[in-house]
Amino acid sequence: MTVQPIARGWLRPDGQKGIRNHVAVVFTVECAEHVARKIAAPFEDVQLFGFDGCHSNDYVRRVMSALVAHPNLYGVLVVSLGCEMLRGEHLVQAARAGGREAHLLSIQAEGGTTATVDRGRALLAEMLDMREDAKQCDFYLSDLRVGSNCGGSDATSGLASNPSVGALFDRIIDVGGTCFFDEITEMMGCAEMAAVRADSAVAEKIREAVNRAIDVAVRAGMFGIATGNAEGGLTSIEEKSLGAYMKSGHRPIRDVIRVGERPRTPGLYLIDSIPDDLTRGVSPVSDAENMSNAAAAGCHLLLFTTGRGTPMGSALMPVIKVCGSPRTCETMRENIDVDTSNVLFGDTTIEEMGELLFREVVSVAAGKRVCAERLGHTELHMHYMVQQHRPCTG
Amino acid sequence: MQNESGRRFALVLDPADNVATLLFDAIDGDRVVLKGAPGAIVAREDILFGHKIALRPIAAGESILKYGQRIGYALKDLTPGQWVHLNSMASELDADFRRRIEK
Repeated sequence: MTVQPIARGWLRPDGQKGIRNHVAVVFTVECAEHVARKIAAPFEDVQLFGFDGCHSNDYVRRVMSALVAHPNLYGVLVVSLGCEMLRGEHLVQAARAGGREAHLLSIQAEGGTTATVDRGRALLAEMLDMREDAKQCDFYLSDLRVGSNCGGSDATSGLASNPSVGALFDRIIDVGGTCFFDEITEMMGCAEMAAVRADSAVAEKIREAVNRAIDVAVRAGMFGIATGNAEGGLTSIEEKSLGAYMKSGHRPIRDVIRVGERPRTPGLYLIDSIPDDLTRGVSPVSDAENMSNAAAAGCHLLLFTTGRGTPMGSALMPVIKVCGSPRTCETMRENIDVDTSNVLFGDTTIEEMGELLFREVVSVAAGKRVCAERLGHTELHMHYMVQQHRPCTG
Repeated sequence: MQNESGRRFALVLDPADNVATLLFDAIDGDRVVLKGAPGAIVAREDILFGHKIALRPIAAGESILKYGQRIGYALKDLTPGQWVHLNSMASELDADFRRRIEK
C-alpha cells in the first residue's frame, strides 16, 4: 500500500516540515513587549510571543531558542530592549541555524518606541511577502508531532476526552507519528503504570520525575488541582492524575525528555517539565506553559482536553479543543472543536472517538482552522526554572 | 446536566471501585442506574453531574477507589448513596486542598 501525504506542508531549510507558515514577533524582555505588540498590531496573521524576565537563565535561553525555530515558523522578528540578559542575537542565531528568516531590533539602538515600531513594521511587511515563496512539500502522518494538554478538567475529562486522546495517540504512533504528553504534576500515583510501558532506564526516569514533581508540589504547597476541578467533581490530585494520564494511551513510552529537546525517533514521549532546583522555579504554573513545552518539543499541533472550558490557543500550533462536558460544549460552543460527551453515555466508544479525533487532526494538518485560530488566540507563556540540559539520544 | 429521561446513570469504572460518577444532577431520593456494574443505587443527598456517589459502606480511613485505584481516603463513615467529595474524603498527598479552596 502506498502511503499518501495528508497535507501540503512547508519545508524548512533544516529539513523540518510545518503545517502552518507563521511569522512571529518575539520580545526578549517585558521592557520590549509593548513595542513588539505595536509592531505586530496592524498585521493579520502575525504571531506574538516572548519572555518577560531580565535575569540570566539557561533554561529560558534553551526553550526560547527551540521556539524561534519551531517547524510552523517561517521567520521571526526579535525585539529586544538591548540590555537584558536573554540576548536577541542568540535567538536570531538559533532561528537562522534552522534556516528561518530572522531579524533583530534593539529599542535602545533604534532610538525609542516610534523608530523601532516603524522599522519593525517595514521588516515585517517584507518578511510576510517573502513567506509566500516558502518551499512547500508533502506532509505525511509520519512527519506529524502531536502534543497534549488538559486544562479546566472536570470528571468528564478522565472519562471521555482524555481516553479518546489516548486512542488517538495509539492510532498516530501505529502509523509512525510522534506524540507527547506532559503534566507530570498530574501523574501523581501513576508512575508505576507508566513505568511498565518503558524499558528499565526510561522507567527509572519516569519514577524520578514523578517523585521530583511530588517533592516540588509538597515543598511549594502547589498541586496541579484547582477550584474548578473540585466543582466539576474531582476531589484529589490522585483522582485528577488518573484521568489526565489517560491522554498517553497505551503504547510504549520511548523516553522522558527535558523541555526544549526534540527527539527524532517516532513514538511516544513524556516531557519532564519539573525543575531540578527547588529553590529556583516551580513546576509549570499554567496550561499556557505546558503548551509552550509541547511547542518547544516541535509539536505541529496540540490536543487540549477540557471539561470546565478554556479559550486558549497557541502562537505556534493549532490547538484542538476537546470537551466531554455536555454543558460546557453548549455554553462555550465557540471554543470547542470536538464534543466527546457521547462517550460518557456509551453512545460512542472511546476507539470511535479516537478515530473521529484522528480525522480532525488530519483536517487541521491540511489547513482547517481550529476554534482558537479563528478567534485569534495566540497564548504562549513560560517562566524561570532551573533544569539541566539533557540531550535526547532518540 | 439536566436529567435526561433514561440517562440517570452513574459510571462504575472498575469492579473494585467503591464510588461511581454521576452523569446527571441527582437529588436526594433519586434512583441511579449503574453503568459498568449491575444494579442501581438510591442517592441519599443531592449530588451534581460528575461528582461521586458511595456504592458501599465505607469506614473512616478506608481507601476511596476509582479506576480501581486509590484516590484518597474517607474522612468519615459513609453509607451507600452519599456524596463523596471534599467534605468526606481527602488526598493522601495534598491534604490541604480543601482549605486552599476555601481561603
